[in-house]
Amino acid sequence: MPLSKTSESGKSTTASPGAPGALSTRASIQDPSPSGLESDGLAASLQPAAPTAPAPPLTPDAIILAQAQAGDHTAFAQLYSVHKRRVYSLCLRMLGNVAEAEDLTQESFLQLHRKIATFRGDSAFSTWLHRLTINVVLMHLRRKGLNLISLDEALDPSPEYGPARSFGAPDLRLTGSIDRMTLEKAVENLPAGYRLIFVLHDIEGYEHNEIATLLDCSIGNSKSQLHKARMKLREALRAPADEEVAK
Amino acid sequence: MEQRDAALHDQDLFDEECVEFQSKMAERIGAGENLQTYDHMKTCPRCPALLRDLEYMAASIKFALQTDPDPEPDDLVWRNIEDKIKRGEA
Repeated sequence: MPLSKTSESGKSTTASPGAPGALSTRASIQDPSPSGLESDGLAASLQPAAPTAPAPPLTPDAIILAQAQAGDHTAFAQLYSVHKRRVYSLCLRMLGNVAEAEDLTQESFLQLHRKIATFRGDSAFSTWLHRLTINVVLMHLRRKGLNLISLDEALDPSPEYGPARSFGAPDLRLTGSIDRMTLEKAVENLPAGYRLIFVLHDIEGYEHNEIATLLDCSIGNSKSQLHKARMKLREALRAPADEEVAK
Repeated sequence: MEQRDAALHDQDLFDEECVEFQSKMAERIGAGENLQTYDHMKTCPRCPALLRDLEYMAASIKFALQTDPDPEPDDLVWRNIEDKIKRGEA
């Protein structure tokens, strides 16, 4: 990847002052005009300016972000480098498919490129990018015809997790000895609707009300789907464990 | 022998109750009900254990997936992004 070091001079913070979507940290950049000169006349203007708290320095990340917002391609490449794993991993978990995950990682960063100037710093940049990625994935799933409004059995017409197989004793061996790859695979193999809810709630930490907003479903729907997803996952993880025991 | 038969009989009833209860769990959770208020949850050792097991599983998966580094996309992804930006398609 053609990455080059970015200067930390902070020049980009002045490259687009007042630009739409200016980074909130820019508010901390000192205004070059001396303060106090606008007050009562010459005498007042001759008084030394009241000391103001020194503005906290911009972090390297904020500088890169500001530069990317100003159209610096190298800075954008650095943003990609920093966030690509997180974005790709999120896509992969939500989609369960490497090719689609790569396509949507690409689409997410292209959207980021288009929209980066609108980032105002109301939340952390990583949170904003995370939400942008989720929206890209959800739009893709809707285009594919996945009905996110009715997540119930429509997505999984034969949920055969069947209580009869589920009422056993707690199965703490489920996860302790299962490696990450098996866990990833089990999550990937969940039906799409279950996977979305499970990833958003149990892995990404979204609340049910947020998921309901994202997926345009009821909070109750989100809760019941999560329970079903967990049951399904439990069954999937028990299967290899049961096979081990049978050997 | 009679005692054993009785225990097995009780167990069967218990299982039926569990099957019935668990088949309604998702619906009740979705309706915002507190499952702990049901009599079955107070007497059954398995259904509360199942719910604890699910919570434990979810927490363990989250922990496991967050401990290792995230996978990396193919380099081609960035090359495609760069191409599209250069062609003004971004």
